Amino acid sequence: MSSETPEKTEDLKAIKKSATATLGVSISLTLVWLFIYNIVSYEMNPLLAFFKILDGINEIVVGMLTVVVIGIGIVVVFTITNLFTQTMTNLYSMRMIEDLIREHLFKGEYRMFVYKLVHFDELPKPASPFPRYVSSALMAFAYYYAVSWFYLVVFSECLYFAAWSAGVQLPFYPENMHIIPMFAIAVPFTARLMAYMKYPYAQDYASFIPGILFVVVLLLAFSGYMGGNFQFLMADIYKTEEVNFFAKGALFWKFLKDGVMIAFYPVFGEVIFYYLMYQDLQEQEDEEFEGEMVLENEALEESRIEEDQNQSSS
Amino acid sequence: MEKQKKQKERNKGGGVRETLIAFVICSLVLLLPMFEIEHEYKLFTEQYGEAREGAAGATLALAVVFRTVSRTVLRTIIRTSARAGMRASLRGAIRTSIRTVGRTQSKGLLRASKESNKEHSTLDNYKSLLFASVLLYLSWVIVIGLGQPFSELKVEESSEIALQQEEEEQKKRLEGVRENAYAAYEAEQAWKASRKELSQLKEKLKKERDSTKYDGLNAEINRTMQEIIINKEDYESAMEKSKNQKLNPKEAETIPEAEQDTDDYSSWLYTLAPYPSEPTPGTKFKISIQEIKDGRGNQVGPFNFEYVVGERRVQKDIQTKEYDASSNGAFSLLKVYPAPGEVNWVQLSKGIRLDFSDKVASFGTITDDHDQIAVGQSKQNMNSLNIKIQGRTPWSSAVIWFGGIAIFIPLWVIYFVQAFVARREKLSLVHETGPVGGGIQLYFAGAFSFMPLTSDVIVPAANTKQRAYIALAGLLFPSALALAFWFVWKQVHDPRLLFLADAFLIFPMVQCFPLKPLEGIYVWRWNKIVYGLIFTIIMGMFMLVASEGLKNVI
Repeated sequence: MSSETPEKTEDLKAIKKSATATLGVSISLTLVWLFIYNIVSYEMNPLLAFFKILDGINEIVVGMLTVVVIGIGIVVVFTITNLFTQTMTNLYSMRMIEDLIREHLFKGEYRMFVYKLVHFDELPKPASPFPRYVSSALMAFAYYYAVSWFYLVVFSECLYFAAWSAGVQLPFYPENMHIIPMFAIAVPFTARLMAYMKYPYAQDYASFIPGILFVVVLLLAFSGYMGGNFQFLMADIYKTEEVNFFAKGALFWKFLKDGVMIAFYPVFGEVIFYYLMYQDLQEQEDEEFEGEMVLENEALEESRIEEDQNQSSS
Repeated sequence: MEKQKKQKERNKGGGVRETLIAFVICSLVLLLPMFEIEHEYKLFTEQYGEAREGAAGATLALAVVFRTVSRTVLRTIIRTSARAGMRASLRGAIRTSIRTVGRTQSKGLLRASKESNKEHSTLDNYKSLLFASVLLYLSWVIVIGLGQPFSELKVEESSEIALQQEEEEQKKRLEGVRENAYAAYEAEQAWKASRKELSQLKEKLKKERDSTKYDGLNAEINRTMQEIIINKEDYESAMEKSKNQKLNPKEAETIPEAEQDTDDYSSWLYTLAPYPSEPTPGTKFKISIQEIKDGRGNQVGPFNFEYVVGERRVQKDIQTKEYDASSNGAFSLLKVYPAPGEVNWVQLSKGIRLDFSDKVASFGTITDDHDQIAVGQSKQNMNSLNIKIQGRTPWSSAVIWFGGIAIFIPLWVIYFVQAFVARREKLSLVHETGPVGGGIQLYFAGAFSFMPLTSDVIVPAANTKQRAYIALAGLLFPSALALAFWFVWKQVHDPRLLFLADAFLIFPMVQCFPLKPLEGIYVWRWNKIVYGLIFTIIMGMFMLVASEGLKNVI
């Protein structure tokens, strides 16, 4: 123990030496770069450029803060969409979220809750996919319906924007109003289907979903800041009308009316999944029961043979 | 101690309070969008009317045809699956409840049931078949007698007349407004062209990087938008002049020939119902309507209109009966279309339209006086009241009482075929009609849907291959018989043969799904390729051989 201490001190000294050198180079490089920048860009004389280095640092910090805020926004959007896709590709997700909520959130362990939520794919699988209580099952279905609506609207916008960007003009009619929301629901729901079928590339497929949302959110942010011509599906279908066939607004309401049912598809998918899992469970129970029956029959048979032997001997 | 226990319970979760809160949240999330959107939709449609299909023209024809076909097939698949699923669940639930009574007792019960399976005699199978036959008969009577699934179906002659009459009407409409229809078409083309130009300009604008050209394009877009408004107004006024008809002068001459080809093709693919509920020509009936009110509470009525179902021929002279409007501007009946008297069924089945002097707010009961006629759901639309007229299979009809017998005959035939195959394999076959199957059969009959799912076929000692052979016999034999009956019917056109074809086809159709305890699952477990082939054949037959009547019964 004592032999290690001098070595450690030596190491620390060496590390500190290199760190001091790096820090010195970094600060010098920044100051020199800003000094030269002032001379070249602002055409300052060397003395003024030297004193204006501080202004340069101020400019960099303010600019960086904007980038950091955008970065945080990106992290939030990415985390939420990624969490959605992870809950979709993990058959046990509802039970896992329930466990997290009950074991950490309800007990006030917020940091642990958020940490585990972010590291959702590293959490161990629970023994069963079924939520523990009726309340949790109800919340799970509410979650699915809410998320379905989110995807229905946001992905419809994304798909429409993708089509518009590619120069494809989609005509809107009552007959095809359900197509875009169907596709919008199909994209995330396919990830869930892959998970049901234990398809090996479900995670790979799902990982591109946050990407789509991410790009569209960025473009939307550009349009918001810079006033570009982002093409909104909802706005376009609201404006569409065809004399003698449908009035302005009719397609928008039809979209939402169809959406009530389409958003329920993933909920129903989950119902079927629970149903099938329950049937599996029942079959297992039946097999165990049959096994017990076989053992008991054998015991009965043996006792009957014994009784017969006893009777014949007596 | 009690407090600690409560605290522990609370920490554990799942209490009544938590469940109630979850229930409220779940209800809000699942139901609020539904109520809100439906409410807003209703308000919107009351003011502007529902979105009417057809504006897309032929461009969406494929999608519409696909949707119609897939809806019929999917509806059948889903209903069959739902029933099979329900059966499996109920059986599972019964097993579970038996277990909860006591594992020891249940072992006794299971043992007893196993013993009974061993001793299951042919007589027991006959009893099961008899019970199933009674259930099927009852279901059929309920579905046909009360559900009236054939009410909107027509005989072949009337179906052809309907097409011809539609064509005649279209021609007549066009003759009167031909020039205006051409003008409406041209105006629509101009409007479409300007919209297309706008989208192209927007496309260009999107790609433009030169600011001078960008401004130029913006100006051009503004000009095109003005042009669109003018073109739209022109189109609306042209449509008003042409009474909503538009016609492409170039295509006007070629349309009938193209339609003829399609008609021949679709009529070959389509098998009409053997016994549609179309009343025979000469049937006299009376439609009675109680009071009809406008929005201010003024009422007119009652009215009685007497009709006679006319001969099955194209009727060109369909009259409108006009009434004098009230001199003081009070709410009154103005027109009845078609006018009471002799009208063919094709026209009557489109409904009777009553036009009033003011917007119809509500109407009283509408009745008829004939057992072959039924009044369907009637609707008011602005100043009109549309009365839906349907056919009815009367309670005295042989379709109900003898049809019920014909429908369970295949059950016996399938049993004998499967029992024969089982005997050849040296196996015994148990036909079981339990309360679960019976209950589900009657439940769905209550929903006016007929599908024979009363019984299970159990072959206790069969291996996968043997069981699959027995299942295959139960699926293929009735399918082949159905095909044979259908083929003979095509030659001799006796509806009884088509009815039998339907009766034999419905059994394999519902049994071919790979769901326990249906027969399809045994083929599926044995050989997936064979299963796929069988499923495709049976479903293909359902689409082509099954009559319109069978599709409506399901």
